[in-house]
Amino acid sequence: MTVPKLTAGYEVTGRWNKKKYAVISQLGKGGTARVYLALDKVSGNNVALKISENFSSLNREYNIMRLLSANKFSPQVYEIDDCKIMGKFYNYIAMEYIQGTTLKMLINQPIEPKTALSIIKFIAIALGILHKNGYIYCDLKPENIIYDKRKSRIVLIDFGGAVKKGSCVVEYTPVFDRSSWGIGTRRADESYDIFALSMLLMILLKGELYNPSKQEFYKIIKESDVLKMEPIKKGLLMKYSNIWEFYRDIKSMKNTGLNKEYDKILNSILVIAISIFLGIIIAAYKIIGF
Amino acid sequence: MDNGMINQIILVTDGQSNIGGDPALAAYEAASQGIIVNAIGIIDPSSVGMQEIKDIAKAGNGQYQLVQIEDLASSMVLVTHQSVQATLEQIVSSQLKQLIGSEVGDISPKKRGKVFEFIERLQDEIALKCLILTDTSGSMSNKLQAARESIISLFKSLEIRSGKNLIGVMSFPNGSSGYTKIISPFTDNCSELEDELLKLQPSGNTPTAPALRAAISYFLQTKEDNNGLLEQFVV
Ligand SMILES: Nc1ncnc2c1ncn2[C@@H]1O[C@H](COP(=O)(O)OP(=O)(O)OP(=O)(O)O)[C@@H](O)[C@H]1O
Repeated sequence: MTVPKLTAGYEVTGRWNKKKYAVISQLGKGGTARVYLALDKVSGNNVALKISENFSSLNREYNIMRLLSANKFSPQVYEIDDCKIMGKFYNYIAMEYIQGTTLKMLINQPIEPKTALSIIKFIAIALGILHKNGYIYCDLKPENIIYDKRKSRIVLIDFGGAVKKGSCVVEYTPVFDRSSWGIGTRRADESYDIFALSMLLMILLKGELYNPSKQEFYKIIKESDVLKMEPIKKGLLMKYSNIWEFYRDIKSMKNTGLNKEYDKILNSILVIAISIFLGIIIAAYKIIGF
Repeated sequence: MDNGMINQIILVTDGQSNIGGDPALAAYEAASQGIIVNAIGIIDPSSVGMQEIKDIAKAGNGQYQLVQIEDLASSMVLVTHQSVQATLEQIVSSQLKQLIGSEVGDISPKKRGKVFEFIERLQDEIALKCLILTDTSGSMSNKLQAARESIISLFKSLEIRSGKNLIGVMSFPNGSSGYTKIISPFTDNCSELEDELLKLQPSGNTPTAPALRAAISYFLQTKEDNNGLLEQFVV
């Protein structure tokens, strides 16, 4: 870890775009980066600054986050730039600050199937968009998922581990890595992410982590049978090659608590809302002409 | 670029060297000869002296990680990829400097994309020669099965790249007869490697520095015909 620790009040100035931020506090750190909560001095908004010395990896992360930016499943990214700290250049991205708790905090007791399934559905959509763009997320783990209470949404952070489909998985956590369980390769494909997501669902339902060096894989399959969670089993055995199939199966689980009728009503409300929204946009477009 | 090759050592240890001099100096010697030294420290309740791991990686122009034994495999995969990437970034940057007088950092972030795409492609295609130098002394002795599995796991991960991979394994110390022992010569054959790994057995002291030097000379002995990129561009 060689990105220096910055103290509150430290001013970060962009080399190219000349934006200025004042550091408020450190949000976290990882292998090659530190993430700070900072104040955008012009807009007065709080942002998260991810500062790294690995230029190419952060650049890729920025590009991937841009792909997802239209959706609410990842932080909005504002800019990428360099900054000089103690005579040395670092690369940073400024992104939306997500206020909330990581899913890691939730894993100490089993959570309601209804809640678990809806969390997994959110993540499946986010991964689906990523897959559509040719990337595999790879390092899916509770630490990389934030529950944003204020906006009641699930946000995926840290795209540093994402790689192009077909290449080799670089960053993984054994329990979510099919290869560590001895049942697949580390060539990144959709079913690699679906495996990890199914494992995550299992872990949320059980309220405890597994360990591939201490446990046997078939026991988890057995547990999924006991829980009557067919999609988990199919996901772990890599029966899905497309995350939307998994999503559909998850959505049709009875345990979602929402019965079919309710789902239908919800769907039609959604359709109406979207049409109204589109109507407004089209109207605005016609009036303002932007 | 086709005949370039990246040379790297991954040092795996859970202790502090206690014999044979300063390992960071040995790592520096490796880096000067174009061999990157990555270092992985296995932490357990009794572990001390992890500063040494950082110093070794820093001097060896490589990456380091401090992990639990369960995470040895993922850590080997990560440091290998990170160090290959960092090395290529340095090479490309110094080539750019020679060609157009500016480094990657002097190009605006928006325009860097092309350079990074090039690096990403190289990362996948470049040949990699990797020597795992593993400590088999004292408390490492009950972690050797995990070490074997991790080495195989690294091999299988690297196989997915399109470039050639050669993996060798050396252990230290070598009982009474010397500092190091070649467990498996450089190979691109996984089952060969698996067989050889059975030779990984517990032993005495922790002579990290001499072990690193033995690793360097093993690299030099097994030098391929082509010149390593690193030897040309990175000091
Ligand atoms: N947009 C954000 N809003 C709030 N907190 C964030 C945000 N991005 C990151 N964090 C916090 O910072 C921590 C580290 O971030 P992240 O995982 O992206 O970095 P990293 O682990 O260093 O990345 P890498 O694994 O690529 O080295 C996260 O666990 C999270 O707590």
